[in-house]
Amino acid sequence: MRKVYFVMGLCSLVVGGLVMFGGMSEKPRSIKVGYGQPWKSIHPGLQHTAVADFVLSNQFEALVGYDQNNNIVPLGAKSWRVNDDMTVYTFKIDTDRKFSDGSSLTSHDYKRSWEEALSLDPKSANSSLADVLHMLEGADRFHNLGYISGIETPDSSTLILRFKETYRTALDYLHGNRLAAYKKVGDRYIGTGAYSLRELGTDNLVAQKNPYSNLSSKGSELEMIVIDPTTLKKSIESGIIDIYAFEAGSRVAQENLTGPNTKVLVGQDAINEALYLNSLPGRLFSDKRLRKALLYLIHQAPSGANKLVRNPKYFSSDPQALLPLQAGRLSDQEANKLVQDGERYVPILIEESKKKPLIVYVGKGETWVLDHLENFGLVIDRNLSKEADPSERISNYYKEHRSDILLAGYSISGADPDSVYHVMGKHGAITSPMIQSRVIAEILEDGRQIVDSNRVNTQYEKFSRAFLEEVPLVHLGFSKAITVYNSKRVGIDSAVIRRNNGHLYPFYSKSP
Amino acid sequence: MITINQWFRSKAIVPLVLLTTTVIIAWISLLLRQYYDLRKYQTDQVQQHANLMQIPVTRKDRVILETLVGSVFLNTNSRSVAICHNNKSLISLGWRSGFCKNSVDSVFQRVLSSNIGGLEGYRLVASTPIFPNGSFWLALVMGGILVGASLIIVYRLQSSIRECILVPLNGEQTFEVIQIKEVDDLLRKQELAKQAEVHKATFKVAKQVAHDIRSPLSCLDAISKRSDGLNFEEKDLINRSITRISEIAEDLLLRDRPQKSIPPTLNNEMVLNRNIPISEPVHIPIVISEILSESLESKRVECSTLENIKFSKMIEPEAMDTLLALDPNGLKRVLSNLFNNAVESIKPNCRGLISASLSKENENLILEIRDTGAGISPSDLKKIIEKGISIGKANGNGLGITSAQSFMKGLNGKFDIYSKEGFGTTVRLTF
Repeated sequence: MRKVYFVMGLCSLVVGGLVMFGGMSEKPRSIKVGYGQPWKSIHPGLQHTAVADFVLSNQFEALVGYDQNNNIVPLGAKSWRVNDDMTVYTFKIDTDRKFSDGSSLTSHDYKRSWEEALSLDPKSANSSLADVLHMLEGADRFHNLGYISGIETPDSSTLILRFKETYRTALDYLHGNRLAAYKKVGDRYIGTGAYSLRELGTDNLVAQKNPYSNLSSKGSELEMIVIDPTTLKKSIESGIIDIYAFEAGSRVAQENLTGPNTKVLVGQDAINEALYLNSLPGRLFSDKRLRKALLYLIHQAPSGANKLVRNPKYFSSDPQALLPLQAGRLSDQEANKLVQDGERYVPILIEESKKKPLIVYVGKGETWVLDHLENFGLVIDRNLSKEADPSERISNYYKEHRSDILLAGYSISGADPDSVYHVMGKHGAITSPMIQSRVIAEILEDGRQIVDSNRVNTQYEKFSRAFLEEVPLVHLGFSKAITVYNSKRVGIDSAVIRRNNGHLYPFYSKSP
Repeated sequence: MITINQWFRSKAIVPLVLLTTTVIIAWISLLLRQYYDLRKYQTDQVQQHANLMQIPVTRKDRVILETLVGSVFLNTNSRSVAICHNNKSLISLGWRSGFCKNSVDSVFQRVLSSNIGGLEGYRLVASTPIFPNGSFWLALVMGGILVGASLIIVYRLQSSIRECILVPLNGEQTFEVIQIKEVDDLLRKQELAKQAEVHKATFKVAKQVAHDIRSPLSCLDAISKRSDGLNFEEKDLINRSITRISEIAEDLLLRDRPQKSIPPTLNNEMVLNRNIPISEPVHIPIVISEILSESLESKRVECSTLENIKFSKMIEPEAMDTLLALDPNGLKRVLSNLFNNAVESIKPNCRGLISASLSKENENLILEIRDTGAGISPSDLKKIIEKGISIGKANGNGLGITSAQSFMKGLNGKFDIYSKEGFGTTVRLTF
């Protein structure tokens, strides 16, 4: 009997030791992360794509962040006060946070970072920081003075932001990585995030653990590369990448998401899929009637906009720009009625397209979109239309404006209806002259100053109606963001349920 | 009379099974309780959050609604959570699609659904895995190990009893049929065999002594015959002593030789009621009073130099001619030892009396040897009787009393000893 007890005790010790110390035996290997688009720049002030935002979120930290419940939580700022009319935000900076070179974070870092970023030549139509900073006192004199008077740093731990008018959603926007604090050390930009990024080449980054970061991670380092989304399944199963981080679920074919060790993390609705219409003068869609006609064709056809996405499983077709149960959302009946109104203009659209065939930019492998549009009777210029890579589409959208229709998406930045400001507001970070509407822009400017929640709904209902009247873009619907990973090679520590969560620190390497 | 199996069941199995059953019941109860508490907690969480959601839904405050949905997702360990309206998902979180239409429990998941207070058609739905995580599985595994270990212990206990006790004792006897009495008999036989080994070893030594003693005895015999300085009585005593020692030695040497059986020709009325096993040797009946007288006389002569000790004898007329078929040498040895004990109990500076008596009570012959020596304390007396330990004698080995006891037991007689410190000791042999 003693032998049995001895053996059992020995086995327990061995098993216990393996469980406790097995994970500590070897340094974990780096995790390979793939993205479907290039991030272009890892400078926070030049971030203008969703992918860049998620890559940057691993290195840079803004004043505030979001927790698992989508509540705003301290990040670079450990606390804040807001005055009654929401024009003055006073932040206490967490000076215990450190950059990856060991230096402490201060309020001056934020002021310097933002003013520097505003000086850069933006990749998008507006500066990435414009939709927040333009609201500050003295912002309109920045180009003359070189600083913004509405940003005050009385000491190294205090940051005061004075806005010209009430800014209800300031905190929502201040979580964006483009508003993070950064420092230049040599030729690199460093932050206070969990990782420190280092470029190895074009579209190839290494992220090493920031030894001074508060965020713990079992992984040793990350290697980030850009892959062709059509090779996703092969890349995951063969080990070229361990994680395919943040993609619109509607854009990934279902067969690419199935595999013996392939797992998919699904978050909330995070991306608006849309057909951006070029309403610049002289273009076909400068006529509002024709934009309404296209809206009708897309959403009144059988299956609605589902035909225009690869994977309807993670997509819900919806003509409205605001999410269900979001303030300002119209009833389905009213929305349908507004969409129906475009039916009378369909023959005109078809006739005009015959005169001036449409130039359509879609993504690689998305030619079925052209077929679908042609099925409506529209004439497509197949020579000038193209399967454009992400860079081409971005450049076209912000600068060149060659297409009549551009198939693309924009992220949902928050649950407040003001989240549409960054794409349709006058100073929106990712707006474009192609889609700017004066009517809509005015509604959005007024809307972000309202603090009474009852009035918010009324104001944004105006937006919703204007959106379906003006049709700056045909909103196809909402897509859930997904992260795909190989469960044999990586594990995940916590439930990743936030909307736009590009953070990779919850992942850890399983195999040596 | 019970079997080993019954004995094991009543003494060992039942308590062990009760213990194991108690452990199992406690373990299952704990798991069920944990499971029930978890499920109740999950259901309560969904209900509470559904109650909170009414205002945000009516005001279309998606900011708060998303926070509440996230809270349900985390607090209930759900796979999916959604706000559904007429089977259409308005807000959803998690990996399952088409969730609002599927409200049926399945093997792998349980659907918790609660109406959002006061709103027609609005529901909060959460899909939770059937088997909870964390401590439930830990309790399951640990409890399983405990139960498994208990069963192994019970099984091993049974095997040990069979291997270590039953098989060595009874060889081919099976676990179920052996009786407790048989085990007792077997254990007694084992004990007797062990004692026999000890006696055999002791007897071997005694035989050796007896063998070796014969040479010096022969020498003494020869010298005593030639000795002219001794009177008749002294010569007679020497001869008797030499004869006695020779008889003792001869007796030891002959002990393990097969006895010649003498057919019984005696008068049954003259033989006292005894049970003599057929396998034991049959002795010629002897007159007990003569043996007693001879032994006493021999001891008196031997102690003639001890002036403080007197000897006396009393033989009742009825017992004078009583015959007993027993080993005369054995009786002489016993009497010699008892007289020696009596002599040695009287201190040199004290006066003492040693008396022997023979009488009849009912059909029994009673032989008593009394002394007025130091006496024996009750505790010492107990040791002498039970363990044969010698008290107060420098070279004693306690065999005198023990051999007397054995001798009387072999005759189905009785051996009794009474003593009082300061007054003396009485040894009573009942034939």
